[in-house]
Amino acid sequence: MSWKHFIWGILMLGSGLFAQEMDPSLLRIKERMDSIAGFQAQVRMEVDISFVNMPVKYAEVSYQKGQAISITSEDFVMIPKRGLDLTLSELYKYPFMTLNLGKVPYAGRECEMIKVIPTTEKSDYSIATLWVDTAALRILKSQISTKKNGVFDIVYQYEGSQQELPSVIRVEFEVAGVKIPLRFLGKDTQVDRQGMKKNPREKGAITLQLEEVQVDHIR
Amino acid sequence: MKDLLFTELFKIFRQRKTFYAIAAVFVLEAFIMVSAYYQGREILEVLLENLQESFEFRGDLLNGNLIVYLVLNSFWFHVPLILMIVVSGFLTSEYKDRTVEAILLQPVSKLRFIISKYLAALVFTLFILAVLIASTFLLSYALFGKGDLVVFLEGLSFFESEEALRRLVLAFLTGSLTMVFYAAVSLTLAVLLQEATVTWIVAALFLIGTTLLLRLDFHSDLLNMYFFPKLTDTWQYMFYPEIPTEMILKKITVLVAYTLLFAVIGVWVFQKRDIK
Repeated sequence: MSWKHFIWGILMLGSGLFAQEMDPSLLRIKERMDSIAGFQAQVRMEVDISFVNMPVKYAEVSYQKGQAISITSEDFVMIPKRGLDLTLSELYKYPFMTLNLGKVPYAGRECEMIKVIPTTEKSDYSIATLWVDTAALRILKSQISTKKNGVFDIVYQYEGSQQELPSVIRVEFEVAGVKIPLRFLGKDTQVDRQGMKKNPREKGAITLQLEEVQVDHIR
Repeated sequence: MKDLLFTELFKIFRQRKTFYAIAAVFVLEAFIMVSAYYQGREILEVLLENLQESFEFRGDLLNGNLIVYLVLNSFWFHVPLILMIVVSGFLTSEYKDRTVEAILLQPVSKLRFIISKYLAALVFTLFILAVLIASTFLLSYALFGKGDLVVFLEGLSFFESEEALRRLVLAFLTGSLTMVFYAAVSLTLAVLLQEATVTWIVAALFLIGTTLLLRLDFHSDLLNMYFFPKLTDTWQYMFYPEIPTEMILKKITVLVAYTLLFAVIGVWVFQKRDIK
């Protein structure tokens, strides 16, 4: 083997080792989502947390490729930190690798379970698991373990067989209960930050229902 | 009777302390608004801290409705204290200046005189509350705007602006009955004690005791429901997710009965006692 072949071999090996490898099933979904130039929709938000009583809220959500999702509302609204990234662009923002764990049944469909593992410290999540419906080219469920905000379980429901964006998204997360003072800003309102932190965590959820969805595709 | 009432009202609105009371209400409001402006956002952040892990918030909770709610919370102690001091003074000042004797030397019955005092106290209390409520809503909305209200009562409850306004108005109306109760009690204390300083001290002690007893569990449903200290927080029930209308009506009815009872005791003692 000549020294030229040796260097060429090292370069090829290096490129194979460090290239961003993407599972073919996920790649097909990514390509489908990449064809979306933007979307806008009305979103109905229903919070389900034991210690929060909030009426159903409405907001307008809009997305343009390459930009952050914009959510506007006339009321006070709580937006889940995960779940509205419908094109999953945030998962692909930094280099990652994927690991296909094979076929698993989910919601009556045969899915492929794919792990997405970031390969850089910049990413704000440590691992994401996707339940991919390869026949319909859609993600039915994702579990995203973030570095700062805990684990988000997100279930996607679709209308019809062709729709690329979900119509209902249920985001589940863990949240610490709040010690509620009887009188807000009264004499009993000393808030015990440490006590609040120590409160046992419980499951909370928010259901997002997308209505009047308008999707723009790249031509 | 009508003439007596008008005379009493005339006397009240000619007195300097009446305007001190109105000024005190405005000072209280201003203090709450300034402290809310500087500390409100920080307190909201602390209370929503655990939710911030999972959510981002859009919209401002530090708005006029929250300020009105904070002013409403002065119904726990500050407003009743001002009312009790001023209202008891309606009679103690007459004892001190010996004008009671001068009035009762006229063809005025003791019964009518003391009833007119209670009615004047009622009108004065409602007037002060009207000033407080109107100025609170006007200033809060003008300075802080409208928005959703968050309340911390057995959980975090969020109310949309219109619903918040409805509940705040209902709470002010219900709370006004509690203020009338305290006003009646203070006048009865003035009848019993006659001396201004003693009456103020006992009135303040009554208020403090009521506030403390409100938190005490008597291990008796009857006492926990109908003992008068337990009736002074009825306005707060307007901020439960589902307003317990039946319970509120029961509590209001019993509180009105207590108010009348304290007034009747005052009237009876005043009638029986000789004016020295």
